[in-house]
Amino acid sequence: MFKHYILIGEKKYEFKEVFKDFFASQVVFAGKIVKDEYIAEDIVQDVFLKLWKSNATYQNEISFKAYLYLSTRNKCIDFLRANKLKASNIELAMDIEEEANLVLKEEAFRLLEKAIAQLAPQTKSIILLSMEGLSIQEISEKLNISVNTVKTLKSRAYKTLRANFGEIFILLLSPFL
Amino acid sequence: MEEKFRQAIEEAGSLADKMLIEPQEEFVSEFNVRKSKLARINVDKKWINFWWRVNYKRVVSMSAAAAVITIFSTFLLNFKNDGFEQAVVQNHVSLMPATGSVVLKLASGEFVELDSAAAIENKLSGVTIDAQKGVISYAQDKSSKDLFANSKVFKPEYNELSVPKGRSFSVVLSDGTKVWVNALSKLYYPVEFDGAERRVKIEGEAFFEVKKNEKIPFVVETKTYSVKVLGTKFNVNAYSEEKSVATTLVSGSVEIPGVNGASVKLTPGKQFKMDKETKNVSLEDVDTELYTSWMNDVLRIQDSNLELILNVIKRRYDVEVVVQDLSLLNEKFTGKVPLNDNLSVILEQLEKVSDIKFAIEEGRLIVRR
Repeated sequence: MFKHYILIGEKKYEFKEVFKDFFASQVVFAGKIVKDEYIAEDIVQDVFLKLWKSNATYQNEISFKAYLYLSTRNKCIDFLRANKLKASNIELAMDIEEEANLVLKEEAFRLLEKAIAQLAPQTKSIILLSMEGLSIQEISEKLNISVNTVKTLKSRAYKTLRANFGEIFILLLSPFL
Repeated sequence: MEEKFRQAIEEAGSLADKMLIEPQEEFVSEFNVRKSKLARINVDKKWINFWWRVNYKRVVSMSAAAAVITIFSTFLLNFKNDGFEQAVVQNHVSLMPATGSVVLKLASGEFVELDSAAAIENKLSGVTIDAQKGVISYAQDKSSKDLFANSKVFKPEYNELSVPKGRSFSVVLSDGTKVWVNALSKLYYPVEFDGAERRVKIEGEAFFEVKKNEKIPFVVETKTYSVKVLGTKFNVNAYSEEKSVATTLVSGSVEIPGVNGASVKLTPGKQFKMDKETKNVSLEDVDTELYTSWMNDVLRIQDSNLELILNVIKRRYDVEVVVQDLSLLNEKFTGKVPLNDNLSVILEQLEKVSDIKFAIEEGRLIVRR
């Protein structure tokens, strides 16, 4: 009786899962606009509250994400307008290209982070270290595993990760049917 | 505007791909900054807050049974509901926590049951025991050292405190450090610390409130790794049936020396875990109360699976657990239950919020769908 779902395309997602998947990410996104993490958190809470009450259905994942980012953005702008002291931020927030770029980066980071989080611990450290620019040799020394193991784990992980990005339309969480 | 956002979202996948394959410094540093921001947000907590915000009115307006609430696939337990606990006892065979004796093994090899406190106080001067409160303490002043030395039974060597099923017990060591030892656990410690470090060993689970002494570090040894501290409060869970050994820091700072060559420093609120077999380690932000509530004979859980709950039950109650459908072990629960009350209090609440059925037959707890 307390279950709440979000309908996206033909699929039904548990609200809780969607919340856990997007909440922190939306706070980071909002924080870039309002420049205050606590205010960002309040704003995103309100966004989810609206989402909860709306009971809307979304055509597909892209529509849903666009709605989410846009709601957060609009609430941020509302806040900035009410708070005229931060006029300079309104300017930043008003630039559409700039905003779209924030969305692009946040969503890419979110996908990347979520896909990496699903890797086994050792593979995860290899990917994170190689993203920091360490060579296979350096990673092998740092983690105390053979060069060949690093190579194998790394290429296997890339395959998994890229396959995940390929299915970007999927929220990377399993729908509750 | 919406069109721009849609485009951005559609492109995000290929940007993620690019960041992975040809990581650029700019993105990597931004990715790391973002990661530290995310780490400060406890999403589970935020979810609970949010959930209460949207369901508060419905919950309050419901009948007494509302104290137990289903949170989506998770369950919220609440044992502070009187009407409820009474119904419980009728349906299940009554089973109180196990009541074995706490045993102290002396350096001489002699075993003393701590529940017959008078006996031991006669044998060991400088030691006081309050069996009712579950505390044994060692005198902290210098003069007691002489008393120990003169005692016939006792040499200033190692004692071993064994806490049986169903109990927890605390000990105040000679340096003033207080240790709470959980059920089915053993603490091995010197009666008097000397030398360059204060070293104790733990099997099972214990919470440490270490007396600060920067010159003489305190070391807790488990079979998997050691924890080095100066003065702090933390929990170590090293039960043999658990897959990993977890150290949860409440305050101060501790260090796990020599993990893959480098040592790991914990800050308050962090939990360090090492898998016993693979030696894989993880460092996470946790709600420390979840890992220390056992000291108050309460099990507090958040999104924990049934397996964990059953493991705790096995340590507290004299039952063998039989699970008929192993997939049940992954059912998740949130809430708190008492560990010093009738087992049926826990079982009945679990039943109310899930499809799981419990039965106690001939000392065995049968778990079925």
